[in-house]
Parts: sequence; C-alpha cells; structure tokens
Amino acid sequence: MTEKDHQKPIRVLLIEDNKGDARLIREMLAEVGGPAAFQLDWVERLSTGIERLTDGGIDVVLLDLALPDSGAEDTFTKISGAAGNVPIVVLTLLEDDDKAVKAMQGGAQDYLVKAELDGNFLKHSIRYAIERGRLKVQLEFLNSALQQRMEDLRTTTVSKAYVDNIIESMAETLVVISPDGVIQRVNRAVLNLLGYERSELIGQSGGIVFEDGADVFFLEADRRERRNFFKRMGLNDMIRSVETNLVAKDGTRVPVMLSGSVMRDESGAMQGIVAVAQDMSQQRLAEQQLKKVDESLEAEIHQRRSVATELEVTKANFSSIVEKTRDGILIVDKEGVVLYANPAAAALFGREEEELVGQLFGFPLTAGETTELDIIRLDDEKCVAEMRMDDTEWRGEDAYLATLRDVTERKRLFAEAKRTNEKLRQANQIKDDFIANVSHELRTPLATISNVLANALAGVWGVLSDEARSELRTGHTNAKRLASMVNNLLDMSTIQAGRVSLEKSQVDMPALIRSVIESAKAKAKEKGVALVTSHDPDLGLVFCDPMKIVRVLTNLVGNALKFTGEGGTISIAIQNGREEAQISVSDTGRGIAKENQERIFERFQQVDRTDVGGEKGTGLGLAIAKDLVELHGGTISVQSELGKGSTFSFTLPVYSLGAMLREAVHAEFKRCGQGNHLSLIILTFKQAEFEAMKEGGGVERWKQMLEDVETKIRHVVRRNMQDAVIQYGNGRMILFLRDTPKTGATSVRQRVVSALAPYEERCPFLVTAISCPEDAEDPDALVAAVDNLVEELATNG
Amino acid sequence: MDRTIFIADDELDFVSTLRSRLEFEGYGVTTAADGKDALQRIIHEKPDLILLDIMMPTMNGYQVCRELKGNAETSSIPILMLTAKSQESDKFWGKEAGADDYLTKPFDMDELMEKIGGLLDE
Repeated sequence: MTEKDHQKPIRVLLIEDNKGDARLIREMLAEVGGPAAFQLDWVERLSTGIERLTDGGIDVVLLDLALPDSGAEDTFTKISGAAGNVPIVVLTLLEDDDKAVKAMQGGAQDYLVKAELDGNFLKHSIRYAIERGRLKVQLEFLNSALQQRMEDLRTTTVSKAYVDNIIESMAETLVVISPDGVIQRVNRAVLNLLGYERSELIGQSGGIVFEDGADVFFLEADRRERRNFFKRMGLNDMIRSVETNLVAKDGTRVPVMLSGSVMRDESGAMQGIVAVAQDMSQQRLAEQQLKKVDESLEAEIHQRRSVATELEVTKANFSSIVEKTRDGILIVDKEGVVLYANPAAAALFGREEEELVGQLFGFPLTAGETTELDIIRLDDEKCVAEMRMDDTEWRGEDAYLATLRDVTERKRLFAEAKRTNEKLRQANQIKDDFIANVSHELRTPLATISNVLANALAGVWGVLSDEARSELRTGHTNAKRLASMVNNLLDMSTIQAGRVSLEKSQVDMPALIRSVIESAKAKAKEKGVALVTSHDPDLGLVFCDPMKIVRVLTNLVGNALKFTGEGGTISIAIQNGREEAQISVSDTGRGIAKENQERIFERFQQVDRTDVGGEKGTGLGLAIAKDLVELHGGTISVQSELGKGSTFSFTLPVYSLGAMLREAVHAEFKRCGQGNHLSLIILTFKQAEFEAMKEGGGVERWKQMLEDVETKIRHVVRRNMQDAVIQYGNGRMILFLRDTPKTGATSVRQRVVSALAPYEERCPFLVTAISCPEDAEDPDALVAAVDNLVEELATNG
Repeated sequence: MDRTIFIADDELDFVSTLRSRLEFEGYGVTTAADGKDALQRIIHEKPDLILLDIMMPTMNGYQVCRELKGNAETSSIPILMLTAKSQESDKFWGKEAGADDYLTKPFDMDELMEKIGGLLDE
C-alpha cells in the first residue's frame, strides 16, 4: 500500500440486487480497511450502475451477474463498454462458476464466489483488480506506441520505392548532378524528351543536356560563377522557372522551364543539384496557335466593328437616300394601298406624300414587271413614268416596291429623235435619188462630148494641126475621166443606198480574169507593162456576181496600171482556200506609204496621186471595190512597200452546195416578191457519165455542151413567157422559174426534157420540178425539199 | 460599094456624132428614132449591119432584134445591141434575142469602130 492509497479512498461501485449480500460486503470492507479506505456505492440494478459509471470517479466495480434487469449471461457484456478501463470484479454463486470464467475471458479482472467471501480476500481482490487494470492501460499505451513506431517504420520503407516511382513517372524531367558536374540520375521523362538511353547519360557531364546558359548547374564550372548566378537570381540555393533549352541527342533544342535546387548534408556541404525541367515545346506551340487565334479574333472583331459602323452609317444614310433619290419609290400593300411614298413619287403624281399614303394605288400590281404609266396629275399635266414592281417586305408584311422613273422628257426626246431621224432618212433618200438622177442625166451629154472629141481626133473634120490635136486630146481624156467619175458616183450611190443586189452564179474565175486582162491589154501595151496571171491548177468555181467582180478587178488592174511604169509587171493570182478563194493583183509600181494604206479604201481619198502617166483617178475606185467585195462577204486589203510595189488582195467565200442553193433560193424569193410562186427545175447529171465526159472530151467540150443546154432551156422557158435564172451546183443545173403555177412548171419540165433529148445520149440527166408553196412553205423548206430530192436522185441514179 | 450601117436610136445627139464618124470611116448611114420605124425600114433597106438601142419608143430593141432574127430575109444581118445598163441579164436577153454582140453605153468611139469592123469581117 502506498501513500497515495491512503490519501484517497477507493471508490467501489457495487451492483447487487441481494440486500443481505450487499450489507455483508459493506461490513467486510469496513472491517478490513476502516471507514476511510473504501467508499462504497451500492445500486440494485444494472442500468443504474451503468449511469453511475458514466458519471465517472469509480475505481472498481463489484458486479453480481444475476440482476433484475439483466440475465447472468449478458450482464458483463452490457457493462464492460461503459466501464472502459475501470476494472470489474465479478461476484458469482458457486453454481455459476462457468459464467464467471466467461466474464474473465471477456475482460473481468477477477471473480469471487459469494459463499466463500472473506474480508481480506475481498480487499486483495479489489486491490489486484485495480492494479491489473492500471497495468493493462499502460500496456495498451505501450502497444499502441509500438504499433505507431512500426507503422512509421513501414511508411518510411514504402516511401523510398514510392518516391522512386513518382520520379520515374513524372512528366517533368529530373536530372541529379553530382558536385563534380556528373549526371547521377535521370528519370524516364529525360530519356523520352531527349532521345537518350539511360546508360548514355549516367556518369556523363551535365553539359550534354544543358544548354550553355545553364552550365551554372555544373560544378565543374567555376564555383564563384555559380554562386554569383544564384545571387543574381536572389534565390540562394534554389533557382526557379528559368526559361532555357535542353539539348536532345539529335542536337535539337527543346524549350523548357527549368527549376533547380542544391542538396546539402547536415554539415551544409553540397551534395549535388536536382534540376527539374518542364517541356515547353507544346506550350510554345499552343501559345503560337493561341496567338494566331487571338490575331484572327482580333481581326474579326475589327471587321465586325467596322461592319457595324458601316451599318450604322448605312442606316443613317438610307432614309436620306430614299428621300433624296430622283426616282419615285412607293410601298404598296397586297391590297393595293399605298404605305409609303418618297418625295420624288409625290412630285411625280403632283401630290403631297401624306395625300398618297393610305390611297389606293390604282395601277396593276405584278412583281417583276416593268410597265409604263400615263399619269394625269392633279395640275392636269401629263407625264409618263416607267414603273418597276418588285416584291418586298414592309414592317414584317409582304408588300410591293414600286420604283417609278419620270420618262416624260426621255419619251419626248425619243419621239423628236425619231422625227429627226425620219427627216434625215428622207433627206438622204433625196440625196441618193439626186445623185442617181444627176449622174444618169450627166452621162449622155458627156458621152456626146467625148464622142465629138473622138471624132475630131479621128480627123472626121479634117486634118488637125499638132497643137489642135494635143488640146483636143486633153479635152477627150478629161471628158472620159469625167464620164468614169460620174459612173463611179452612180455606182457608189446605188451601193450606199443598198440598192445593189448580187446576181451570184458559179463563176469560172480564171476565165473571168482572162476577160479582165483582155480589156486591159491595150493600155498595158501602151505603157510597156507586162500582164501575167497564175492560179491553182485545181481551182474550182467561185460563187459570185461575175459583173461585180469584173468591176472590182478592173478597178484594181486599172489602179495598178496607173502607178506602174514602163518595164513593170502586173500579176493576177488566185488561190483556193478551204473556206475562201483569194484573188490578188500585184504590181511593181511605186507603192503606198504605210500611213496611207488604211485610208485608200475610203471614199474620195486620193493618196499622192501624181502618178506615172499624169492620170488622175476619181478617188472612188477602191471604195467601190471594197463595197462590192464586202457585199459578197469577203474582205479586201493591201500590202505595199514604197518603191517596190503593192499587192491588193480580196477574198470571196467558197460556198458549200447547200449554202449556195439556199442563197440562190432566198435571192429568187426576194426578187419575185412575197407571196409569189417559185418553181425550180433541177437538172441532175448522172455522176459517172459526167466525170467520164469531163475526162474524155475535156472541160472545154463539157462547157460547150452546158452552154448549148442552157441556150436550149432558155428558148423553151422563154417561149412559155417565163423569166428564168440558172444556177449550177456540183453535177446539177438548177432553173428558177418565177410566177409559174405548178402545172406550168411541170409542162415546162416536159418541154425541157424533150428539147434536151439530143444531148441525153452524150450525158444522161434527170429533170425534176419542185415548187413553193405546193411542195414547200417557205424558202428554207424549199431548200430542204430540193436537198432531199437531189439526194434521192443521187441514190437512185 | 460602100457598106451601109443602120442606126436605131432615139438619142439624136448621139446619132449625129456617130453618123459623122461612120461616114468619115467610109460607111453609108441610115437612121431611125423608134422601134417600129426601124424594123420596117431595115426589112426594106437590108443594111450590112445594125446598131440597135434597147430603150426606144413603140418597140424595144429586144423585140426588134427577135423579129429580125426570126425573119429569113434579115436573120443574117449582124446586130450590135447598145445598152445603157451593165446588167448581165440585159446582155443575156440581147444574146437570147439573137444579137451578135453588145456594147454598154457610154462607150469609147474607137472601141465601137473596132467592133463594127470585126462584125463586118465575119
């Protein structure tokens, strides 16, 4: 027993329903320890005991297991939770021994059999129970401390592997460098980022991976420098977030954010440096992209802002524009009521804007149409407006937008222009008629003058002195020149008036040129100029108006003669192209300056006409030639070099058979007038015999026969009092008969057939008649009918 | 004996100068100023050559020509048609009517003399 025990009595909680047992235990405790040693709390029920325990201060519990509110089996279990570390001594009857043992196993300190109770024994049991409880608490504390220690120990051991794991799997690169600057450790991120194997880095100088600027980490570098660096960073042993580059195995620089710290031992000696770097290349990329996005966003914002500004301006200006435009603008709803009118519209109708709004518009409303309105205004003035209707929307409702333009003035001007035009046309007509009449009237007296002079020169009235002869010759030359001028004027006026119609036929071009040369021979001989001609040997026929082309050639050859001196040459050449034939007249004359070449085809243009023979032209020859060539659908041009000569070339279209026939038919229709009957008699020569005859008898014999046939036909047709035009196509001759009823054409055909009987032996042919309007309704249909017929004949014959 | 040329034309100035020239060249010359008169007198006179204008009163040159060529007594007399037009069809109809040659007015007097000579030589 210690001093402590005396100072404070042991508080005993007795839970016992048997009052006699309870009194006995009290007396026993008083007897062995005195009243001061034990303080006894006695309760009869378990629940009351638990309450008392919860209040605290109890040193030991004496517990009867069999209680009124708890069976012997459960009592200990129920109280032990509330007791905590308060030791429990179980009181039991002898026969309940096994239950007491169970309680002991559950944590009770001791058990006492009631029958054997004794004061000292009880006292010792209580003391032991208390002491054992105290030891148990202490042991539990030690155990828990031990457990904690063990747990600590375990955590520490696990941490090493754990940290290693983290280091290896972290995204940042980690490099540990020894004080002598050698790489001691690297993590997997370093290998991934820089492309090294671990073995290639460990033990190597840190300079392999750190860029020059970062060599402060390597202790092989000057220590002072390193210290200075840290100082500069103001970080002592640690630097943070330096932007630098790591060097990859392949030499590329990888941008990183680098942090480093110096490791020291307890004595403060440097152990090494840990450098952790974050790969910034993705971030850089992202930054760049972000920058781009930023820029485009910026641009878009800027644009939107300017659009918005513009819209604002537009909106502000819009009403002003509508108000000020000179075109009338009206909005009319679907029922035809005017919803809006601008000032121009009001002015057009001669009313106020307010007067118009709400009124029925009164004009037809069809969107997409332009109509003309005759407006009689309130002030009785008439005006004409051109109105365009369009669909639109007005305050959310479908409506019409009518745009009106005052065309009164335009109309008036147009009518005036039309009248002026008509006047001009009449004046022009009068002028043309005048020129035609005057020219015609001039021709006869001029011819007379010319003839009289020719007679005098011929010596009709006696022999002339040399002087008289010379003077008269001048007179004669000028009279002839005047006559040709008048002729040209007359031709020009008829061409200009469009009164020239071409009478095209298949023309033997070489023959035509021969005739032109024939008539120019005398003049050429007189001047000492050679006339030569050349043409493609296989030159076909050209479809043209022979007289007009003779005129063109006569003009060109005449010009060449004028400007070519003695010893010169004039050559006429024909070349056959696929689509056109080209006829050229070349001379070795003086040539035409480049700047004048364009002008020479204009009327009354005489360029530098102090010509070789002192002759003068009318200035119309080339203009007429140009007009005539162009009437044929051809072109005329000149190539010339001063001092070397000139070449005038013109083209004539080479027609396909169909095109030729079409043109001939249309020309005939035009000539016989609308509504007239047109009959065609088609003479088709059988191809085989046609070719044989051409080869056997030669082209000349063939031509002769054609001429005979033609004359015969003309006689037959003539006797029938018909006008006829003959055209040739390959292997066929086509007669156009005007104003002939179909029956008439048929009878003409019969007569043609019998008249040609003698020729049929030499060259067989077929004669067919076709007419419009019976066989065809219009010129084109007639052409088609003829084409069909010819094809039929070709396959049958 | 001088050869005679008959001129059928109503343009008297023209006829007058032509007559002077032809007589100078040694031809005998008779004239008529309208178609019918010309026809009758030609049949009666039987000249060696006829200069026949197309545009004449009472009967045109083509008609006169056709009648003469259709008449056995006169069909062999050469006819030179004088035309004021240059249309192909006029020349054609002249030939069709039986004319031996044609000349377009206004023509050169010397050219006419050549043609006359040629026709008479044939």
